[in-house]
Amino acid sequence: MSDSEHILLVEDDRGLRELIQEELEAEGYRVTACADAESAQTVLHDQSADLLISDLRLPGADGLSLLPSCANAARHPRC
Amino acid sequence: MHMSKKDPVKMNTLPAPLLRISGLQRSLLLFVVLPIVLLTALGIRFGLGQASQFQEKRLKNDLELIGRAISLPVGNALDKGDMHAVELALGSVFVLGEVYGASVFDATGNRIASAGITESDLTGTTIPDRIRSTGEGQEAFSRIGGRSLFSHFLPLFDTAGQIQGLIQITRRASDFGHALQQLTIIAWLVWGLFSLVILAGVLLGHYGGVGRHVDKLLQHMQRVAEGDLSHRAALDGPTEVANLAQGLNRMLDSIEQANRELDAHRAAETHLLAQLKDNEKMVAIGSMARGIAHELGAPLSVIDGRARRLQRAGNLDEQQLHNLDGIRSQVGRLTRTVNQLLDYCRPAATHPRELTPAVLIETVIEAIRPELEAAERSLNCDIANDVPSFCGDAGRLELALLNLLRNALQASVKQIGISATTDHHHLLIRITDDGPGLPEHELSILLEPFFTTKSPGEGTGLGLAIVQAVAEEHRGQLTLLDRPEGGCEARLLLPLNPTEEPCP
Repeated sequence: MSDSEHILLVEDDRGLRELIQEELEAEGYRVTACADAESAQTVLHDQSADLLISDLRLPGADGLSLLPSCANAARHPRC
Repeated sequence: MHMSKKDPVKMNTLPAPLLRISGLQRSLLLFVVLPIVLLTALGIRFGLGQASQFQEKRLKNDLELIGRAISLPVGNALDKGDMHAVELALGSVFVLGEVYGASVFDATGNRIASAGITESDLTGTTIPDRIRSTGEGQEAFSRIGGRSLFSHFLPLFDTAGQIQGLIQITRRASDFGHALQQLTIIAWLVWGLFSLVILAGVLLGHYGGVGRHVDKLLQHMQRVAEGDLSHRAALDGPTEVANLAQGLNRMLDSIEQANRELDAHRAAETHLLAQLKDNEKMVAIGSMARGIAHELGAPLSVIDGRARRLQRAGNLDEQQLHNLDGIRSQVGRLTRTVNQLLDYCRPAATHPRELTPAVLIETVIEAIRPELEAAERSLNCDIANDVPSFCGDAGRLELALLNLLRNALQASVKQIGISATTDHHHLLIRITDDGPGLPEHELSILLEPFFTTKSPGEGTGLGLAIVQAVAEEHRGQLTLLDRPEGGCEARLLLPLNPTEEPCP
């Protein structure tokens, strides 16, 4: 599982978040779930992600605000 | 005509026009009556003066004639020294006229003979000298015995033509005044009467010709001032007053017109305000419904997802799977309702762009095709060649057409139809079915949100309300009617240039 694709999931609705996470994990992906953009930024700072699934409307910064961080993470040597 | 002090317009009304002098009457009196009266007075005065001079001259002439008449017999008598004949001749003057006295003096002024009241001696006066030097008659006023007298003196000539004496004839001085007194009184009485007639004539003439009509006009104005704004003045009386009345009427007409326009503006404003309030209400309801729909959307997705996961788990029996199907179908129903509610609530902003009707309709047909095939209905599509592109929100129009097609599909027996035509000002999209036609309801009720003729679970009752909302967003119109050949026809009429603005 450790070398499977890493998906970063950002969704503020807990029910949806858990459902999607379970579905994706059932499909064999490694999923990191976050409730808001800030914690997603922290995750992106520490590790890379192959796919970002994010709700647009989030408390605080919205889903689009994660895109620049994604671009930076993509240029990172760890990527 | 009572007027309280609170009346906004104070008017000078004349209930008894002859008892009160109006400005116009004052002007008439000052500039017409007064000059006439003064001029006639001057004329009478001048006439009386002339008459008095004439009378005085006549009286004096009388005296001179009398003097001349007796000068000859008196001269002859003096020549003969017959004093009796002199006195007889002198006495005859009293028969001739209103003579007070007559006397004869010698050339130096000593009295020789007299009759009546005369001077006793003329030596102290200049009269004998004046007569001698001029040889003509002289006149003089004098007082004798407390009486004012007028005397006429005439020279007496002897046979040789030399002045041998003079005759004095006197009469009372007041005779000259008395003669004209009566005439003067009559003249001034006539003048007074004439002045009164002129005064009355002018005042009455003013009232009859002007004042009366002005009063009527004032009464009309009074009625208007008291609030009867529709009242109009009668156009009678002299031209000037009628013109005034006409001017007043025109003024009132324009005031009324202005008031009407003001009322119309106010009504329009009230209507706009009400519409604005309605819109605000709709926006508020819309944002509330959007909020509710959003809140319901997520849990519904979760329920559906969990049920789907259970179904996929593969360790459930038939009955359990059936139950999950029931759960998922009800969740689907709720999701549809929520989505329709979201569709019905107008979006915060429309996104108009240039649209080609044919493309729009093709898109919608592609979207409904699976449902068509599942229901085994055929679709007739007829788009006229000359249909131009127009400006609209593609998403909203697709939604409206999809709702109309779905309604037609659900009502149809074999086939449905969609057509697009234009009259160059409007785009007319017709959606027809071969079903049972419109239900027996007021057409307006069919467009009410949540009204449905379908059984529960089959429709939310929002479909036509959504179409109506989209039509209004595009300043268009939705009409529903029964087709003569059976079935129902929905007409969506959209203006091709709703705002005259270029399409973004």
